[in-house]
Amino acid sequence: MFSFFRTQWTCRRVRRRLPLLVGGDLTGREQLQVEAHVASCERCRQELCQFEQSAAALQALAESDAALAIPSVLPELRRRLATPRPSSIRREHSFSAAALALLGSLSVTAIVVGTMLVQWAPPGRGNGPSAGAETGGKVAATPTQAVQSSTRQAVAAQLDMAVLASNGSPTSDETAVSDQTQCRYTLDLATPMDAYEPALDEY
Amino acid sequence: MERERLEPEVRPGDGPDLTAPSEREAGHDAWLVEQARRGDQAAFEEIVHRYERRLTKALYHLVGDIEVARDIAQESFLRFYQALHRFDASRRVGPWLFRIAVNLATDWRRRGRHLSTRARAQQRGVEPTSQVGYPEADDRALAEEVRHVLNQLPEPYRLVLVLRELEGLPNSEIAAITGRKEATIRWRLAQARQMFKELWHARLNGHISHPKDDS
Ligand SMILES: [Zn+2]
Repeated sequence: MFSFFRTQWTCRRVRRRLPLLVGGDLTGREQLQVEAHVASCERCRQELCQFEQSAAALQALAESDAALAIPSVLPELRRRLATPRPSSIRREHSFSAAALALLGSLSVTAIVVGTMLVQWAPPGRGNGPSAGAETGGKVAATPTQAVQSSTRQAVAAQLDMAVLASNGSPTSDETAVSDQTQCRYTLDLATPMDAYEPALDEY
Repeated sequence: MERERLEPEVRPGDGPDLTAPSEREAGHDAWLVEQARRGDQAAFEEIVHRYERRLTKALYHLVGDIEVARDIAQESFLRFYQALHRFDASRRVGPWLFRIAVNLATDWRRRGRHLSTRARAQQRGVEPTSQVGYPEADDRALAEEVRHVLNQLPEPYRLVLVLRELEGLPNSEIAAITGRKEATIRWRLAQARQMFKELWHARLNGHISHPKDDS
């Protein structure tokens, strides 16, 4: 099926690229070579499966972040600017008097304008300019919720498996859990060769 | 050699390009910078509004403390403001801001987190924010597991994972933020995913302490 490759890549060469494959960072011939190898190598396929599981864990964290309520820094920023004092991050650094005077004058007008600007900001940017505790609800109410719950279940299942493994629990439960953590990577055999680019080799 | 001539790629898998708004928005950023330079505070505040959430979120993953993340975000905006007159209007605001923030976060980690969150808050005369968190306990527990593992990665690797996997920035943006070549970022990302995978599976196999075991 993959006879158009003169040589199959070695496991070692492929494994270095599995973390790129799992994140969609391979293209062209490099991607096809790695996919061809994975299709015929059980061990590399298992390795890829592990990358998928850890990627799902990170994805779960990213999705949880969408609901993270982060109060705006603007009130503190204004308060800090209104009272000349050294930086709280690097105490040796102090702000110029001009900047303090200008920023210190941030007024109720600016707050109102800021509020208007938030409303006026372009839609469809879940991580957009929203600020303040109210963003938690706003961002959480995105169409990604279905994805969120499935990712969470998949990763939670990984954690359950870990608990089962450490507790030595019955295998029937393990079987049930592992069904939820099957690796989902499927080879796209229809990928055309037109996206050819030189393989990025050997760092 | 060849790899460095590759065009930056933007694929659907890259997710929202958070520091690189659309052409229209990038143009709007440039306009805001110009207005802020002329002393328009509202324009500066809009820049804060546009970037503070994504910036603080990324910082949270880098320093592991939401209050410190907010402090550093605040400081980043101040430094951004102070440097406005030097800002090349042809550059984009996002990578510049992230670069300031990432450098501050790195400094902070090197300085050894000598102040507790509460001490910092008291120093500022405000109460620590207590409402920060995830809406569901399950989500929080899972997020803590992942965060715990992420925190064990060496800094340069954690940085690329945070910017790419959590913030959805394309490699070209991460290269701009970190001042590295895109090809370097690509392979650092590969190594970071490798390290995270190993740590995550070690955690699953019970070889890493649970976050609640630490104190
Ligand atoms: Zn193999």
